[in-house]
Amino acid sequence: MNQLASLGFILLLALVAGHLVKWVRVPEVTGYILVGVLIGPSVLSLISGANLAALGIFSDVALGLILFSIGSIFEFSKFRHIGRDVIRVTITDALATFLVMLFAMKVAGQSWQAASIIAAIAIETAAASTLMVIRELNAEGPLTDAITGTIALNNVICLTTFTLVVGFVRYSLSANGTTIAGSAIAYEAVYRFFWQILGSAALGYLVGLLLGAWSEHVHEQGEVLILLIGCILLTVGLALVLHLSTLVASLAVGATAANYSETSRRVFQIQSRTDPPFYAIFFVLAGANLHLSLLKTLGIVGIFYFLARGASKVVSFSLSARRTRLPQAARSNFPYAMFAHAGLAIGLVLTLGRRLPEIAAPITTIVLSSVLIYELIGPLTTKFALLRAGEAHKSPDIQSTEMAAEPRQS
Amino acid sequence: MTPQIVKTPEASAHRKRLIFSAAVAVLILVLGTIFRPASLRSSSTTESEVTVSQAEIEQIRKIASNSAISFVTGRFAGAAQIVDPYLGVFLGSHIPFVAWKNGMAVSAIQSHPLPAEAFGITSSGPVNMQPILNSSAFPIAAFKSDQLAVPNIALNWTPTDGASVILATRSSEGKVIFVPGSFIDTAPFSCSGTPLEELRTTIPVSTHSVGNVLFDTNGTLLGLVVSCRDSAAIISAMDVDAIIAKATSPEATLRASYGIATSSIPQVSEKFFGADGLLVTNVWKGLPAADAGFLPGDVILSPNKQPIATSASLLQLLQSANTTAGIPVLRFGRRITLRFPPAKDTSLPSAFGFDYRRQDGVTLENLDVRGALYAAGIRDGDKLLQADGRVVSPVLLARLAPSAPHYFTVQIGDRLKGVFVAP
Repeated sequence: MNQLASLGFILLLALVAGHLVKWVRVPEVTGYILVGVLIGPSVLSLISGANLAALGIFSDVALGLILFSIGSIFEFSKFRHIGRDVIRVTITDALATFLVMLFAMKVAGQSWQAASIIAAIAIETAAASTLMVIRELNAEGPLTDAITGTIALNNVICLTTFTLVVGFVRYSLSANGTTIAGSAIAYEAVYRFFWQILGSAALGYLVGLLLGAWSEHVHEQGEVLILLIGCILLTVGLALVLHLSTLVASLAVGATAANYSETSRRVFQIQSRTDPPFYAIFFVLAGANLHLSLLKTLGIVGIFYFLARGASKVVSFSLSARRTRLPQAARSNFPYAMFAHAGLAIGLVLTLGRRLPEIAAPITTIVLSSVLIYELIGPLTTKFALLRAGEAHKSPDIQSTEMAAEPRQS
Repeated sequence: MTPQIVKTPEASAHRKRLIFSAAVAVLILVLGTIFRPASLRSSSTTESEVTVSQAEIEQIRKIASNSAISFVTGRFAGAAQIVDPYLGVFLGSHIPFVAWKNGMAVSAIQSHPLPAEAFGITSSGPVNMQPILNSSAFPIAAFKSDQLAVPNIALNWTPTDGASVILATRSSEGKVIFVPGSFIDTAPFSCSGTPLEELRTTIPVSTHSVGNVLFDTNGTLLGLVVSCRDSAAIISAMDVDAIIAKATSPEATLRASYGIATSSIPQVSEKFFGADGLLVTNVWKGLPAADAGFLPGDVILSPNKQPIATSASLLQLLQSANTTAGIPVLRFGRRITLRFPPAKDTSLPSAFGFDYRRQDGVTLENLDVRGALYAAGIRDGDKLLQADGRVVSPVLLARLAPSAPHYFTVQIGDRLKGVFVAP
């Protein structure tokens, strides 16, 4: 099957899976991922490895769109209300998860270098699958806002911690005789840290300004969509060329567009109606790239990772949410919405192979095998949390969406 | 509705703030690009701008075919991976190609055409290795077009190597040409069913013909019949000169005396690894190189200004200098120093009625006067070149079952003699 046929096949199967899983009240994302696992190399191999690799570009675009969408949470008037709580909860969680995982991995016999890298990766909560569940449930409310804000910050903190920790580890390993001077490694680590955060934010800000300014001159829905996709592709493409973080850059585009003007905020409404095909492709591909064979390699350390991360997320969010202004229902369900673990974690693990080949192999096995489990149960627990918090609403059908959207454009 | 642009002092100040912040953002990007560390700069050029000439591909192919290709699965999320010690193909959605070393990914080579072409695959884009792994036609197809013009193909399959296949053919001048090739297959060629009928001989062929000379129909000496254990067919004939050259080559001496196999690094790989040295492709346990701590994938660098680019130069270094002196080695981008333990100039016993000394190849000593070798006129000081058609090494001698018959090829002065040793 060629790439276009594979793409069509993926979309149609995703549609079928979305319908099927609704019967058993499982999130659509889980359905997409399961279909991906089924047609991927792990089970039926209906889609070749070459096609999977070639379609990876759709995943990049989808991830850009997802983070752009999440960036809207930084709209000043909205973030002013939830900002303090979100920052406190996210930092508490990141700190607690990092320390708990560091301790757990040391106990499991990992070197301190490997343990600290694993701990940094464990902070991540998957933005894409969590946001998809929110979209599917049409969720609205304090918990939904808190989840969105926390995920955005969580991913930035995870990336920052990882960059710093890898810098330290490389520096420490370099002490034992190397062709590269320690000072060069230190410089590279500091550079990466600033470049990944500041540079990415700068790029995202510039594209966000472009999007915001231009959106005031385009009025038709189709044109807005062209503008949006163009800006996201430009951001992701430039970020890859400049070795910036596509995640932070896309997030910054969303945050800038959300704050630019009332007109620029219209982009988010139009986006939410047009991007589902990208998301379907993204999650089916994500599923196809999950390798069931990794379960065999999970091992004691992998199980330890899985349990310790789950426990630290529950405890840290339960404790930190108590001190927020969130309603009781939101507070008690917050931890269960933050389990999902994929996107950034996979990306970070893959960069390790290049930056720290000495210790990459065991970390890769531990993290990827756990991601496999978390990616399947994460959306379920998020759905559970949102339903229990009473923030899920019935999804509007196509007709009512069209009708609701019309007056906005006039 | 088009928003009304009102030119108030606030709007003007807002616009100024926007312009200022945009300028700061541009400045950050410009400064970041200017002050980019050299290490990051070089990696980006390597990944995107390496061009590979046909000659380099040939060189890589040769290296890949001479080294044992190892097949790693389950280490990384992805599909099939086929690797040689330092070049490989990784299939997955995140990184199209990865260079491997000791089964670990060391470098991502984004969209690089080299690995596929290095393995003789012409498909563009990522390649699905599965059909290749299942196809016995791969190595032949890869070499057929430019090297195997003559249909007389003989195969020498060494079962204990598992993955190594040497293709031998006869050129139009009647000379045997050996084309080293490698491929992976869990069920490789069987002795029967190979197109051997075309390789006509002047001697009756049986398993006991091993070691006999082989002529073609014109009476031209083709070589020595090399083993086939389960059939009467000839599977390979090796040129006599080639056997002597191979067994006494620096590579064979390094393997026998130091337990190390090396391979020159092609220019194209230097671009990836930044090393100008000799790649260690294999190390045998219990021999000096392993004792010194060498690992496959290490790059041996020069301890002085003499470049170490070939096995011969490494052998010269080891033989001339004090081997306890440190040898610089590049391992995963780090420079370390390894030291050979003091040489033990003692004979090693074998299970076949002789001792041998490995410091100078495999020299026979203390021959049992009642043994088959002695009876065949072989004496202390003669050199053992091959056992069962394979270049001899302490490792090979230790692996040979004493209870089974074996065929030894021994060099007596400039003469070559084959001796069949039955238990």
